[in-house]
Amino acid sequence: MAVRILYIDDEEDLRMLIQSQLLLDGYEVDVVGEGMAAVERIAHTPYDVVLLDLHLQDMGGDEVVEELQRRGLQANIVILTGDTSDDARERCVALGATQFLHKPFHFKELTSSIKYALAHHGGQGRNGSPDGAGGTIA
Amino acid sequence: MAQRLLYADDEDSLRELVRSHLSLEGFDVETARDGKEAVEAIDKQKFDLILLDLRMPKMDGFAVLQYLAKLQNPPPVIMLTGVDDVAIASQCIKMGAADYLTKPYNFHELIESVERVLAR
Repeated sequence: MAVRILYIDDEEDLRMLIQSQLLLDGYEVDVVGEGMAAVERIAHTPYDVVLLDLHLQDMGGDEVVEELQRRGLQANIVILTGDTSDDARERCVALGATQFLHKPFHFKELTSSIKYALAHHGGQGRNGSPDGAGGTIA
Repeated sequence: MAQRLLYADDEDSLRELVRSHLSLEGFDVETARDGKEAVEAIDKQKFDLILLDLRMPKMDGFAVLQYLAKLQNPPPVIMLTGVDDVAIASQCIKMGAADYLTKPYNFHELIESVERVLAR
């Protein structure tokens, strides 16, 4: 079964290129540009890895993480962050995020992050392990 | 010597992602954030190929193509267009663009187009 990815980013052309490229690499990929749409996707679809940009059209990535927690939804999240001193990044850390990928990234860095997230969190977001472990945000 | 490409796109992360990929493929890549920056780069430097996003602020890809059409021996251009821009894309070909890629494209298609145009 193909690994299922959700990529959340407000840059439309970037979303399209990454979706197209990840599909070519054999992943199943959904993309969204808005945080609330991402939360709804995660609520209804089991993703193996969620790649979440900190800056979205309607809300911050940290607010997405908060909303997921509020709803009791688990996701194996990699935060895409452009600025290491960003307040939103710090809030994600406080909320339990442990996986980050610095933007701009190379495509190989993106796939490495996906593989690392899969290896260290074993698709818990998809299988819905209730206790979670490591960096799985619940 | 590595062939020099100019890649113009207004999305920051996309620009860097494509730049890094083209660099890994062995190209010497300059980037521009909009059409105006692209024209400034074209005025100062020599490029073997130019990749132009159609929709950019300040000066769009079509306007840059029009600018290039007035130069002597301009470098070949690949236009990057949206699915709704087919009519404009064919207009770009009439204006002298060597090729166009419709989004969503992947790196394989991008490199294939770049190599095909450079081989002409």
